[in-house]
Order: sequence, then C-alpha cells, then structure tokens
Amino acid sequence: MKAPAQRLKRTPPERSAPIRNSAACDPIAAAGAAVCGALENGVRTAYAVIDEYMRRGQDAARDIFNDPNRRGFMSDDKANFPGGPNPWNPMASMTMFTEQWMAAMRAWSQAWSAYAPSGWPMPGVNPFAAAPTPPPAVSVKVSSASPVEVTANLHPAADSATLVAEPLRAEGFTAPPINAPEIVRDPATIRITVKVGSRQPAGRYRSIIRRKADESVAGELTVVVG
Amino acid sequence: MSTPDENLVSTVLREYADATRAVLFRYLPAAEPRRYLYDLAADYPRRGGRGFRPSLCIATARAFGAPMEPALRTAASIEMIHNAMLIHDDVEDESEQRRGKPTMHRAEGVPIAINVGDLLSLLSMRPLLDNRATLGPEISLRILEETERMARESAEGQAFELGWRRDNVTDVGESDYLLMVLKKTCWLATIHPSRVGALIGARGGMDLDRCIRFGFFLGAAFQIQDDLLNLQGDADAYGKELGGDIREGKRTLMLIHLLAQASEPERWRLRSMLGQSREQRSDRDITWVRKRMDFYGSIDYARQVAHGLAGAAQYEFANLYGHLPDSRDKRFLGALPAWVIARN
Repeated sequence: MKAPAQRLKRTPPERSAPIRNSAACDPIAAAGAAVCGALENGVRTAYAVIDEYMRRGQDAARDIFNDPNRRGFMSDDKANFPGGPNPWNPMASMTMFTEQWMAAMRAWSQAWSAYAPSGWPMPGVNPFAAAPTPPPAVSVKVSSASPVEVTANLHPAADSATLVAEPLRAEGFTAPPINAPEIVRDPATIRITVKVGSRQPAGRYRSIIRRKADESVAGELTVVVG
Repeated sequence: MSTPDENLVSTVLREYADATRAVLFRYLPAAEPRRYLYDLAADYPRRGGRGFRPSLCIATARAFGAPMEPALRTAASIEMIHNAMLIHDDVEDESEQRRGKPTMHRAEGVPIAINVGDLLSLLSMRPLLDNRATLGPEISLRILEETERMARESAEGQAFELGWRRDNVTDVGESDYLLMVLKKTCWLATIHPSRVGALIGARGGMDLDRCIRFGFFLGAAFQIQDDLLNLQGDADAYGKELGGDIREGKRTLMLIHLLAQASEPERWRLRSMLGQSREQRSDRDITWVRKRMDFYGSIDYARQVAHGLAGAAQYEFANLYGHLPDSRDKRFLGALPAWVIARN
C-alpha cells in the first residue's frame, strides 16, 4: 500500500469576513494602512452624513406639518426656535413675509391650474378654457414583418391641431430611420400609421410629433423593433 | 480608448449642452451697456463647459417620459445660475483661470465681475417664469421654490468653506467636509437638476426627496474627482491652475487627510501656511504640501473614497430609476457614477 502523499496546507487567512467595524478601518488609527479601508470608511461616513441631513429635513417637515401657522426653513433654526421665526435671524420678518407671499402664490397657481389642461400644456392653449381638455383617442396601425411595440405619448392638447411626425430615428445605435409615420385626425380619433421595413434592424426608434401650424412639440412616438 | 458608456455620456452631454446654450443665449439681451455688462454675461457660457448640470436635468425629465422641450428653459436657468456662481466663486477664491482663460475679475476687475454675476443670477429667473407656457403655473412655481432652496443650500455650503478658510479652521473632519460638499456642490450640480428634472418628467407625481441620496453620492464623487484633477490633471484640459486649491487653502479631502496623518511639526507648518494669505503662500509651500500628500497617501485615499461614493451612487441610481423603462437617458444617468470618477 502506497503511503499517502503529503497534503499541501494553505496558510490560515488573517480574516474570513468583510471588515464591518469602522474603528478597525479608522484611517487615523491605522495610519499606514489608511487607504485599505478608505473606500468602506468614506462610504460609511457619507451615509451617516446624508442620513442625518435627511432626518433633520424630515423633522423640520414634521414640525411644519404639525403647525399649520408655520412654514419655514429646514435648517437648524427650527429646532432651536420651535415657537416661531428665529429672533436672531435678521431676515426673520422678511422670511415670514416671503413665506406668506409664496403661500398666496401657491394657492393662486393651484386655482389657476384647475382651469389648465393637465400634463404639458402647449403654447397657444387657452388655460382659461371652461373645462380640462380630455386626452385624445389614439389608434395605431402597424405593418411590420417582425414584432413591434409602439408607444404614443401625446399631449392632451394635441387633438386640437393637425399633427406631423418626423422619421423615427435609432436611439443609441446606427441604423437607417424608419419612415415618418402618417398621422390623420378625424373628429374622434388620431390615427397613426407606422410602416416598418422587413430589414429594419432591431432596437428602439423615437420620433417627435409636432403641430403643423407652429412646429411646437405635441408628443413622442417610440417604436421598439424585435 | 473610450468605453461605450463614456461615448454615450459624452454624446448626450454634447447634445444637451448645445440645446441648453441655444436657449440660454436667447435670454441674454443684446443691449447696452454691452461692454461692461451684457457681453460679459455671455463670456463664461461661451467658454464652453461640459453642460453636466443642464444635461442631468434634461435626461432625468426624459427618463420619466417627457420630451426635451419642456425641460429646456429650466436647464438654461440652471446653467445661468451655475455661471453666475462661478463668477462670484472665482472672486471669493481669488482664482486665476476659468475654462482655460483668465477669470472674469482678473480680466475686468472685481466690481464689474460681481455685477455681471448678479445680472446672470437675476436673468436666470426669466426662463423659470416663462415655464408657465409649457409646464403650467403649478409646476413652474414649484421649480421656482426648488431653485430658491438650491440657492440657499449652495450659499450655506459656500459659507462653511469661506469661514473655515478665513478663521483657519484645521480640525475639519470628513463628515464636516461631506456636509459642506452636499450643500456647496451637490445641490446645484446634481440634486437640483435631478429634482427639477423629475418634477417635469413625473409632472409633480414623485417624492423629490428620493433624488437627494443619488445626487449627494454622485455630486460628492464628482467634487473629489475635481479636487484630484486640481492636483494631478492635465492643465490644458482642466482649464484652471493646477495646485490652485492648495494655494487657495481649500479644505479638500486630501488636505483633511494630510492634516490627520502628518507629524506634529508638519501639522504646525501646514497650519501656519494655511493661516497666510494667498499671496504669501509660495510655490515652495505648494510643492511641499503636494509631496506630503504623496508621502501619506492622501491622494490615493481620496481616490478610494471617490470610488466608494460612486459605487453608492450606482446603488442609489438603481433604487431611484430602476423601475423606469430602458431608454438612452436612463442609460446615460446610470453611466454617470463611473464617468465622474473616470473623467480627466
């Protein structure tokens, strides 16, 4: 019987788990080896900073929420002067005035917005229309040899105009564009026809839809081939 | 050789920066006094720059499904505020070069430079007011409020840094530094563009505080890389004087690390040097500090931290934008953490 060959043994590792203890990686304490823990230590410190910053912001927001008469900054002022504006702040009276003005502006803009179409109102749209414009109905007809996904993103005001589309251009890769889609509008529906050639490379293509009258943007059409 | 991600970032930056500047220049009046004001207002924007901030705004809006146009005025406003702050920062820091040319106060004098900076700040409000036509009054007002907050955070961050330098504060810790960077750099460079981009793209339907973490880690990595380039970059590509941060006594992560690592006599010399005025700091002082940074590994240390922060930004990106459908803009945003620490 043959004697078993002598086994090679690996030197035991100095550690068998990631260093989680920040003290062990403290660059000041571990002078010469600072860089080894810099990444971990830096990220930990950064998370501590942003967590504390967010916590202070949330505390300030909670203060404001609990006191409807008060709205102010997210800085330390709020914790130090919970009863009102910071008396040591020379801008305090200005701040109150500004905040009241902003509150009035906000109320005004919200009231005003109620009359404006939702989404992205386009130039030329009357924001004082009696009622918000309903989104247009859209039908898309596609002819393609390969599977195609089409997304039409039209602004709510788009159905009031004659629309044209640019050719669909490849996004992030080189390929010939897909011919400009045809857009026809009847009283109830915007009908979009997209023709994708049989040799069109797979990928994402995007086109801007414009109002014919002033060429302002009225939406986007995305076609994913393959 | 550039990677596909680097190509994507540079392509998108160029495209969005061009589109933004086209709008920005429409807001600069061709009026008198041109020589002392309006021509100078166009000076820094004409010098170029990457257009990182406006591109981040546009790409975020588009990643949420918005077209480019509704974000352009806000992007132009961000770029105007950025240039206004650069003019004032250059005065405050006594900087000599900006984008490869003499800073405005060196070329035109401090009073005129400050006045041009003031004008640009005010002009940046006009595109935000004009947002009403495309975004409606409510979103437009929210963007104004966001802008007011960004300006306040930036001023607070700048106050930290200026105060530390004036009073020769040398016990600044890493967390102090990161809080200063959060306010001074991140709010304008990354947090604000992300927030207003998301506001436009999601049409007000998103909790904007979610943008703060991604913006913080991305912006902090960006700032540390910028500070590293100030020490080690290609002078022509960098566009500012190399070693300028040491000469200006800026509390960078490398300087903070050096202060913590240096021997007591070295620390004493460093403190004395930082307590002097800019003119009193000699080339020999700058070279000595630079060598001590090499000796104590301060530059490698800062580079490691920047890499860690970029990794955290990547993680926060997935949390923030992971649910969005794939798009060129989403890929651009996802490529930024690696890009900010790779750029030179």
